Amino acid sequence: MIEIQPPARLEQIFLHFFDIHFLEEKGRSIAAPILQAEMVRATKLAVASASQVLIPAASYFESSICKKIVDDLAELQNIAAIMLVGSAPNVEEFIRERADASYYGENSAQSLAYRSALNFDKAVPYVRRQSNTTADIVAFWDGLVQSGNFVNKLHSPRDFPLSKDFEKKLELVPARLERTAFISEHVYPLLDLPKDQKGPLHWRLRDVINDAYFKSYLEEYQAGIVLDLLYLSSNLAPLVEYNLSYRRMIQHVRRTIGIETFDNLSPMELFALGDQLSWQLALLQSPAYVGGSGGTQGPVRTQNSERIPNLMKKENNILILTVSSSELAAVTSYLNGIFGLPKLFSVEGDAKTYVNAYEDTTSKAVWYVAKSSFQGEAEITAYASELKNALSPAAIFMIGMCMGMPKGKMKPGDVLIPNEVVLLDHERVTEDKNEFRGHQRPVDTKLYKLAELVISGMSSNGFSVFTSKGLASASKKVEFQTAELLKHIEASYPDVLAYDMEGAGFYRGLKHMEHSLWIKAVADLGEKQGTSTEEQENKTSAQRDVTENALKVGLEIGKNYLAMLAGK
Amino acid sequence: MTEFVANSHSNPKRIVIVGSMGVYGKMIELAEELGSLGIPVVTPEEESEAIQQLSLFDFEEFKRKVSFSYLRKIRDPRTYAVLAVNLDRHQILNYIGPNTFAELAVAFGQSKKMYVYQTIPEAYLDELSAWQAIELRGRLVQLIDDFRRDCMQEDLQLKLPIG
Repeated sequence: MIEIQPPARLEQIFLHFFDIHFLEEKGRSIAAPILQAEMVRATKLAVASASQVLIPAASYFESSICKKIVDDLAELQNIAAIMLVGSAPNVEEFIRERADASYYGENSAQSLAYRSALNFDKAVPYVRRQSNTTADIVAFWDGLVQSGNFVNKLHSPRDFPLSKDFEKKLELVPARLERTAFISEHVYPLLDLPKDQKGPLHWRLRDVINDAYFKSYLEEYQAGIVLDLLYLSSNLAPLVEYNLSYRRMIQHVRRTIGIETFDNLSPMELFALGDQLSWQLALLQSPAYVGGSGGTQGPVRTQNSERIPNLMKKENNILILTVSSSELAAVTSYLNGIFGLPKLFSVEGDAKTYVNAYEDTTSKAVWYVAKSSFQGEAEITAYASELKNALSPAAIFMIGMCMGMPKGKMKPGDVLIPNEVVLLDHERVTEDKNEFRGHQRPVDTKLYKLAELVISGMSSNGFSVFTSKGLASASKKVEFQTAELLKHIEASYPDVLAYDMEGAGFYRGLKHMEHSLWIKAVADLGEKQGTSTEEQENKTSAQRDVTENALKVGLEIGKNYLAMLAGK
Repeated sequence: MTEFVANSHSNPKRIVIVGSMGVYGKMIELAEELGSLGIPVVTPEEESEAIQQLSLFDFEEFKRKVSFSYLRKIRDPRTYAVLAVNLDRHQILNYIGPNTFAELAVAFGQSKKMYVYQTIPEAYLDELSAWQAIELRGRLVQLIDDFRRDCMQEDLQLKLPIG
C-alpha cells in the first residue's frame, strides 16, 4: 500500500535550475523577463513550501540572477530557510578554491566570478556537503560505462555515426580529467568532439554531467525538486516521492490569493504560507509531472500521481459511500474495530477527495470509505461516478440510513436492499396542485441477486432485512408524516417501503452497473425531529446504530462477492 | 559571398518553428540564425507578465486562443515549412511531445515541408518517415539550402565598391 503523509511542509527542496550550466542550456531565453519571472516564482514557491531550500553555492556566486533572487529573500537567511550548499569547509574557502586558475581555467567566466567574490562579506547560511560532487559524478559516469548502455543514452541509430573507439574514450574520461573540473567543456575535447559546432551529442553529454551533479545533491539531502516548470523545464527526474509542482501550485495561487499578491509578499509572509493547511493540502493534492508543461509539450506522470497503486484496482476492493456525518462515523467506528486503523489515500482526477482504506488481512480485501460533502441526487450522481472512475472498485455500496414509510412494515433498525428505485425529483407545479412524476427503474443486477441469497443465509442480528421491495428517492428532506410527497408514494407505489435523498442518484451515477448496491437501515418514520440537545444526541446515536446494521449486511454481501470473484 | 533575396516581396515565404516553451531559448537561437540569413521565421511568443496575472479560467482561455492562432500560422499559405525543435526530454532522445506532433500533423495536412531539428524519435518513426519529415541532426544546413532553392533567388545586382 502507498500511504500518504498528513499535510505538512516539504522537508527540503533543491533548486537545480540555478545551476549555471543548466542556465547556459537555455540560451538567449535566459534574458527573457518571463523566464526570470518563472525563476523568481519557483524560488518563492519553494520557500513557501519547504522547511529548507538548498541552492548550490556555485550557483549563488556564478549566476547573477541567482544571487539577486537569493539576496531579495535575505530575511529568510536568519531562519536558515535558504542555505547554500558547497564542498568546502566554509564559504570563504569555497570561493578561494574556485578562484584558483587551475580549477575552472584561468580565463573562464567562473574563475573571474570567484576572483571578484574574494572580498565577499555577506553571512549567507552555508552548509558543507559530506559527499564529494566530483567523486559522485565520476561514480555516476563509471556506472553508466559499466551498464553497457551509456552509448544508447547519447546516440540514437539515426544520428551521425560515432567513432569506433568512442566507448573506450568514454571510459577514460574520468582518468584523463585528472584535477580539472568535471564539466562538459572539459569533456568534449577528450572525446574528440568539435568545440565550435555543437550538436545533440554535446548536449546529451552535458545533460549526463548535469544529471550526475544534481543527483549528487538530491541523494545526500533526500531533497525534492521543482517540477513542471515551463521555460526552465529539464530532464531531471526526482529521487524522492514528494516534490513541488510549479504548475499546480501556481494554479493554487491563482485560485486563492492571486499572482499579484503572491509576488508582493514579504519573505516571511511567503514562508508563512507553507504553514497554512490549505497550502499543505494543495502540495499533497498536486501530482507532479516530470519535465515541462504547456506550450507544445505534454506532461508525463511520475510515481507521485499514482496515489492509488494499481494493485488496488484489482477485484479485491469495495467502496463504501456515505453521505451524512453520522453514517461516516458509524462506518468508520465499526471498521476500525474489526480491521484496525485505516490508511488515508488521496484520490486525484475529478473526484479530488480522500478515502480511508481498510485492509482485511485475512482475505486481503480492501474496503474504501468515502463521504459525499452534500446530500441530494445530483451530488451523489456526480460523486459516485467520479469515484468509480478513479478507484475502479469491484463493487460500490451506498451504506447509511433512510426513512421508513410511516405506514410501511419496516421499523427503525431494519435494513432494506431495494429491487427498484423511484425517483421523484420531477414535479409539475400548477396553481391547483403539485403533481409528482416518478421515474421508476428496477435494480435487478447480479449483485442484488447475490445479496438476496446471502441474506437468506444470514442469522438474525436483531433486525430484519427486506428485499424485493422498493425505495423512493428525491432531493427533499421530509420531516412530517403527512407530507404530500409521502401520500403520493403510498398511493402510487405501494411496494415502496423506504425513502431517502440519494438512492436514485447513486444508481444513475453508476449507470445501474452490475456491482453497485444501496443498503440502508431505517432511522425514523418521518416524525418531526426534536430540537433539544438531548433529542439531537439521541437522534445521532440512533442514526449511528442503524447505519451499523446496514454496514453489517453490506460486509457480509461484500465478503461473499469478493470470495466469488477470487474463485474465478 | 552570395546573397539571397526572397522570390516574392509581396508574399514572402517563411519557416514556422514549433516546440515546447522548455526549449524556447533554442527556438530563439535558431530563429536568429535563420533570420540573419534573410529567412523569415515565426516563433511562439513568450508570455507577457500580464498573462501571469490572469485568473485560471482566463489563463486557460488565453492558452486556447494562442494554440489556435499558432495552428493558423502553420496553415498559412506563406508558410514554407515547419521546424520542430525536438531536443531530448523526459529521458527520451529526440523527444516530440503530443502538441508538437499535432502541429506537425497539421503541417502535413497542408502539404508543408517538415523538419525535425535532431532526428525522428522512435515513437513517431513510422508516421514522420511516411510524411517525409527531414532530419537535420542539429544543423540547419539542409533547411537553409532547401529554402534558398525554393523560396529565394541569388541577388544578381552587383555591389560596387564605394569610392
